[in-house]
Amino acid sequence: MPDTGTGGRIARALELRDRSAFRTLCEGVHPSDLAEWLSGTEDDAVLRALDWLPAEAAADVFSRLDLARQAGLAARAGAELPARLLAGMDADDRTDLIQAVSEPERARLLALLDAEDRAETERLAAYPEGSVGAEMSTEFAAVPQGLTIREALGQIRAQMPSREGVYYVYATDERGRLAGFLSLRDLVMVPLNRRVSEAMHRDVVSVRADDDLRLAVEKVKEYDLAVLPVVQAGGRLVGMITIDDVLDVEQQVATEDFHKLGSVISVAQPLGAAPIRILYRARIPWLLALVGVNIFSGAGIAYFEETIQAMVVLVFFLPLLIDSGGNAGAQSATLVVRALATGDIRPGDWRRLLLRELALAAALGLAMTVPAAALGAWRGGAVVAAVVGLTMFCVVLAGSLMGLCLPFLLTRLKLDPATASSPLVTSLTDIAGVLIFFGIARRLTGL
Amino acid sequence: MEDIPALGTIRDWLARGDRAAFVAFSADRHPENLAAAFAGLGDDDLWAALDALDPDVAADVFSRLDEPRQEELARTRNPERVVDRVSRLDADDRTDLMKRLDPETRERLIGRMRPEDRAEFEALSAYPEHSVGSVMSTEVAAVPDRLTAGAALNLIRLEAPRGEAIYQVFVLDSRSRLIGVVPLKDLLLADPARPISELLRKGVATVRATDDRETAVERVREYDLAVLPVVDSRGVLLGIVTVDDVLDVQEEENTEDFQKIASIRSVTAGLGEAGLATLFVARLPWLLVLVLVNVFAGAGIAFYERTIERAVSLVFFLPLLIAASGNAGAQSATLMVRALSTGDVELRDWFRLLLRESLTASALGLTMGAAVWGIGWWRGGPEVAAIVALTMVCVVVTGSLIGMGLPVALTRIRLDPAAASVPLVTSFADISGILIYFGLATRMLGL
Repeated sequence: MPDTGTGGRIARALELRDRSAFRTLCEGVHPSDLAEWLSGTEDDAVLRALDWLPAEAAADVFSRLDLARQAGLAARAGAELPARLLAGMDADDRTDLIQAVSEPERARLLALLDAEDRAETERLAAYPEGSVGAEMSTEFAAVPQGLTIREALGQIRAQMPSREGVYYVYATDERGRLAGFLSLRDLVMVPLNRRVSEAMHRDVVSVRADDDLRLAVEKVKEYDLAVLPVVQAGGRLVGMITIDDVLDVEQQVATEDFHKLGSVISVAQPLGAAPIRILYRARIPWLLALVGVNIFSGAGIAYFEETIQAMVVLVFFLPLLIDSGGNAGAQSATLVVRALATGDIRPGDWRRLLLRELALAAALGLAMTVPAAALGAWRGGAVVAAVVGLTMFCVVLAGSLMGLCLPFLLTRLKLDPATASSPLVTSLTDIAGVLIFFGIARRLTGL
Repeated sequence: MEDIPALGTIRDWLARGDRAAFVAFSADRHPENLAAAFAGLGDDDLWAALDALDPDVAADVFSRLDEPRQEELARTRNPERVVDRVSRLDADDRTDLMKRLDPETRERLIGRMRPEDRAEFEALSAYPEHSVGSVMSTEVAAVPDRLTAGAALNLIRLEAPRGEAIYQVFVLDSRSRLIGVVPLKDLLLADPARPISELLRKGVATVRATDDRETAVERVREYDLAVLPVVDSRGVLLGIVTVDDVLDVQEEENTEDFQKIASIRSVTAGLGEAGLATLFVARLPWLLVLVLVNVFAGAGIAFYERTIERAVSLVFFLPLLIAASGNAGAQSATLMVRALSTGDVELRDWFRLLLRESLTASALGLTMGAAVWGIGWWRGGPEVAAIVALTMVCVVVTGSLIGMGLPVALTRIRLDPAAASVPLVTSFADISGILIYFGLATRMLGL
């Protein structure tokens, strides 16, 4: 773990404008730590730090700051420093920044780039959000397959990207199409006079730049890859997706699903920084929609008003019974939604799972009946015990089935299964619970 | 996906001993695809197929089969054969498989392992579950700090570590303590006569073997690493965690969080295969605990029984109000639990977050209050409308604060914040909702 003492000393060196102390302190500090310390520092000090760091390190640290902070710093810094930072950044990070700033600023920053970088940035910016192209890195090493390993090494020496996590050298045919790959391990192990085409692996898995990013995530996970090459429609190699990108995407997707399961419309920015307005908008639609659903529970109660009036003691059990159904439903729905998301189960599995869920819910229902009936006997005697016990069994069954089926149903309708949030399942189960409870009560007590 | 020949065809090749056809089929295929193609074969045919492959490829294919299938194969074949295949697996995969086997098979295999493999298995399996040590691999590329680049490369050629391990070469001092890292690509491209100490990058992020494995996930994500070194308390290099393991850990941890927030005790088996008993045991405890909590909701109702008897129409709004309270709480809890787990918010922020939550919840509550005011008027006139609307504002605020506060409080007392599950928050919100609703009604109606 980075020790905060160094962070404090670096801050002081910046404050005192002590350049040599700053450079000494930064030696052996990971860019990620430096970025974290700098993110809590004034703009002027950060700009000074970026100016003092060696070009490559400065670009690396700058890329790790928040996009909004990057944009703010670039806007304040004039021309010379941003030009240096932009030139040193990875193409994908550079494109992210260019896309995050306003129109006139974008033109200004693009003008700071050399022709080649500008063309590349504009090309990357054209890929839609959520596509492989928008996330891919263009710093890969590629060699013609006709070279020998020795020649290939010479060529790679010239073009080897600075980025860490480059473990593969791709082999291309005479038209730039992806033909195979060599790992760095192969370059170490294979005799130098063999041809790339003889030594390379041909079982190369790739994605297309216009594919959905989720497809790349699936392939990386399925094939256990560290790097996934990206090709254009014709098979030309244009970039790569690395597994650390995949980790981030994966985490974002899980967070979205989490929020949906809590019936929150996904909040894209970090929760700590989200303003009230954004949170309000993310939460109010579902809260209101669920009021609509809950009116039906009220209607159910209105329908049974006479029964209730005759036996007010029943109301005592109302929260217990409808909650238990909802809780069982929330459990089933969450299990199914997550398993669908990780590919553990498939939409076609519902029939098999339904049978198991029936047996499981019956077992859970029976186990829940015991305490419910005991409570009923204590509060209201034998009849109430029977009503409450029987209702408990039925609502756990109904809730579990609702929780299991809703995600599958949503998938069938081509909607996101994670919409089957715990609150939605709970509210739907409440309606069923009210009807079952008072229905059974009326029948058993003859009221 | 790729077209794979029918199982019958593969079986045919194996039966006829048609090596040429089998080799032609398997040569350029990714091990993942081979594993998929072989999955339908019987145990004998599958072993025959594995035997016909290059031993290292066979081990790779083996590690990509379903876990239950791996275990079955390990049980059915004679131990020498199994040990030969298993010894070629990555150390962490090997430990994982050995741990899953029944004790008898495991003992049989351990007895035939190479002494170094056996020692490694014993060392790794001693680490507690969920620790970094339990997911690390001990196969590393490490060199002493006094070598030249060329000598270091030769040493690595001899050791030839498997998989991703080779891409980061760790540099150790005379007491095996980690002092820095040289990416393989730097070593490969450097002048062979240069001393390692000049290529060395210091400031390496590390984890301890005894840390929680989530620490490894965080560090790999934070520092964008592909290989994370694991050290002991003195800084001696023990092994590495590779990013593909981290991806798996991340997915598992996410799934656990999903389950916890729906009040399910962790189900480690895939949902598709999990047995009835496993699911029953995972779901029942919390359902029963929540029954207990809900008894308090019933007690709240019992306390206001006379109010209810005089104005039964109040019950109409009960599910609506307590559900709204629970739903708002579920939203807050979901946002908070997820943000704590991804590190988006930090505990010391709690006061600011509480303030923001109060404001957000007030805005939500006012909107919701306005929405139910109309329904209240329609069902019960102006007085009921006022009670219902006022209750709505109060319960949405209370529910939200419970939802936000519970995970924070749990973290404070060093419990897992995800235990603040949606059902638990809902149940607490119910109790407070009932007390607020009938309390307000009793006062305002003068009952």
